[in-house]
Amino acid sequence: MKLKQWWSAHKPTKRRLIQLYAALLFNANLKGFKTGRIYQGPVKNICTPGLNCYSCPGAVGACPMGALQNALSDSGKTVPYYVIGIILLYGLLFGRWICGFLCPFGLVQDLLHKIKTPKLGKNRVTRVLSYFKYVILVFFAIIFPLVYAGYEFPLPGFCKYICPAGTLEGAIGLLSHPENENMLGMLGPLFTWKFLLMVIFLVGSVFIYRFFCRFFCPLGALYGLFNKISLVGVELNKDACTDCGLCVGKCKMDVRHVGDHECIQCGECLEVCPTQAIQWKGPKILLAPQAIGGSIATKESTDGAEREDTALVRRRRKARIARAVAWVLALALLGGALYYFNFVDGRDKIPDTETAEATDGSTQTGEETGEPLPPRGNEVGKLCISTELSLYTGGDTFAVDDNRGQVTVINFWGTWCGPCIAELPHFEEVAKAYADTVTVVAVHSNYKAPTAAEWIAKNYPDTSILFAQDPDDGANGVYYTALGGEGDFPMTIIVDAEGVITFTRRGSLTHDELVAAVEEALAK
Amino acid sequence: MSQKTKERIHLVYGIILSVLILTVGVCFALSCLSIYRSGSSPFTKESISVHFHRIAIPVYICIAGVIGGGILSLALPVTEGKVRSRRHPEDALEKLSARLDLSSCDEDTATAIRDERIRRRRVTAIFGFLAGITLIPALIWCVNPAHFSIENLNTDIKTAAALVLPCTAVALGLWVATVLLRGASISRETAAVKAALASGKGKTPEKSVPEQRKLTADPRFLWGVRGLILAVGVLFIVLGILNGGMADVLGKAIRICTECIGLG
Repeated sequence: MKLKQWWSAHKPTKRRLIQLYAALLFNANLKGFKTGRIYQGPVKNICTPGLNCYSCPGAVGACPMGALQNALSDSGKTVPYYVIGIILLYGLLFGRWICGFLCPFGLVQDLLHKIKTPKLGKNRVTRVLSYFKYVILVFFAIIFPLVYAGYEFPLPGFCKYICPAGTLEGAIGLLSHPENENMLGMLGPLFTWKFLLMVIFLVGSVFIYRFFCRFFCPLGALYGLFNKISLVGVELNKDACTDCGLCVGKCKMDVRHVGDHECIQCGECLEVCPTQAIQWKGPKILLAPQAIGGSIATKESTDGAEREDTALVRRRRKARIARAVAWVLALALLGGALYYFNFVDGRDKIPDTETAEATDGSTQTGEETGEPLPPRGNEVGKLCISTELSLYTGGDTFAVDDNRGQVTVINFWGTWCGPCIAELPHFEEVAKAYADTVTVVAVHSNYKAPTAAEWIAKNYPDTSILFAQDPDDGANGVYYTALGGEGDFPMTIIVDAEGVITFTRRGSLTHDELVAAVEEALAK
Repeated sequence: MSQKTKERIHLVYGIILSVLILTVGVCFALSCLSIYRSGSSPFTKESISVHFHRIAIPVYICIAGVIGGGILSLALPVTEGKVRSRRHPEDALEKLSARLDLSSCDEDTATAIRDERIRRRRVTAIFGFLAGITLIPALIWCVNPAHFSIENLNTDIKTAAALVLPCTAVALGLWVATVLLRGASISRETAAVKAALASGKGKTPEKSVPEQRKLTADPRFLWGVRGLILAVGVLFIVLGILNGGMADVLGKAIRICTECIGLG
């Protein structure tokens, strides 16, 4: 009996079910957690409504905040119409209902807040502090990307320095997989900072309701601007409102009125409103059937009233059917998504290096030693896979096999990748310092290839690096994938004079690390 | 067991659990810091497992504590307290003031109420101006590209943050002060208005004053704005597809965002 009571008090609410549904739908690529790879299919050009890092192995859509910052970073070349359009539409349709129902990170905070500890409530000071998220939005998500856009350097300031969803879903999701162990070597002060922030946000959420959403989330700040006009959410019927203040008393967000910019439209205030002045706005047909037309218990004897009752019953029946259809469609969508991303779409499958070896499996011998060389592959100790690459600068084509006798440093980069651009000067220095013994090839991932030539001409007019172009495979590039790239840029591979791989790094390199790796290859 | 005893048990349990959670949070933070400070390229599988193994016991205790909390609420359920009414004092005052005819109040009360209103306006204007002024230097600094470079990216951002955050703290502090001062003034005015209403002198006649409807409450205006945003949103998406914006989003999303995961 007690258990029954407990269950009825604690059973998941419809909101919680929708939150779980949304979190699963936006992270439907469950096999990504098994393989440790992110989904790379075309669906990812659609932004999910909530804060859901696109580097999460399960993510099947793009994060609107990350996409916005990257689009602003790129605004010198492309006006960010697409992302702004998507955010406008999401805002118009849902407003901060997204925070209450669709945001996976909101769900994490909600669940943490359910832990039975004393809670810190809201007050006038927290309401003022809730405006801090606008400062984050303006400086980290808008100004910093725009300022660095002037340098043609992509800097998603919020993602890089603050976002706890990126650390939790992306970093921990990827780094905890044994396949990505080599990424651990690149972690440093930035990761430490972000990890500390994430711990603060998560622990804070236990004691303070929606700690991150209320004070820090720039996406919530953006959607809050649409709350008054959004098509879905809660609305207050001012004529029925007695101004009792129970709704604001019940609400755990820093709202002043129901539906203002702080309201996450969770609908909990509906339960306490004594006059039913607060209602759901949106398609009435999908609302609870009981909510349609109020009570039908009262029957009048007049013919007119009876007819009205029959119409009401008919409307409620229609609403029930509509809700059932909506649930079936939603479940079909989720089932379809789970099936498609996990069993049909194989875009995040591990590249078949065995096949790459088999295509050129003939035994070769070293020019200097005369000893047989190892089989081809993309790991240290294997003979590096060679592909003819067309060059942007200094010649027509380049292939690792043609460069035997010299150490080759192959760096995979992109104009769209901030860390890649930040480390290119190290490669330039090495190319100049070891001009006689080392060839540095910077292979641009084929994405935005036409703009790469302009970028190189502008930023590296007199360079010792050979800038090459990776043949397009519709994703990261043929050569990049063949050499074991999994979507993480930059990637560096160093090949000794015999063509054997001596060093691989998925991620950035410091100048000292690069020099040490080159020296090691030269010593062989 | 009485409700009060149950509540007391829950409170004590909650405090113990809070201490546990805070301890585990601090342990995680210290472990991460300790790994970071242990040398160059410090994050290895071994170092992580060694450091996090040390905090395993507090973590397990904390998890047990969380589960215990659930069991406790099952064994000793407490009824939730009544929802307390909470109105913004300014809204409450507005409602009260609507019932008051200031011209029919006695001179002293009317002057006191008017003075409070003037004082509030002054406080808002002065503190608001000061809060705005404090943010301007940070804004001017941050929009100047000369203060940023790719070579010293993290240092430059740190410098900018070191300027933005204190300025924001001062602005928010001023704002909090404004809110508190306004709150005190509202309390005084509310007391004066209530006194005036209680004395029966300041009541307005029974006629209903038509409430001024805000423009945003007008359905035609609302649907107009919605239509406009819908049109602009759809247009922008189409333009974005045509100018390659959608491909840009895909290009970024299918690659691991090293910045997002703390590598970049």
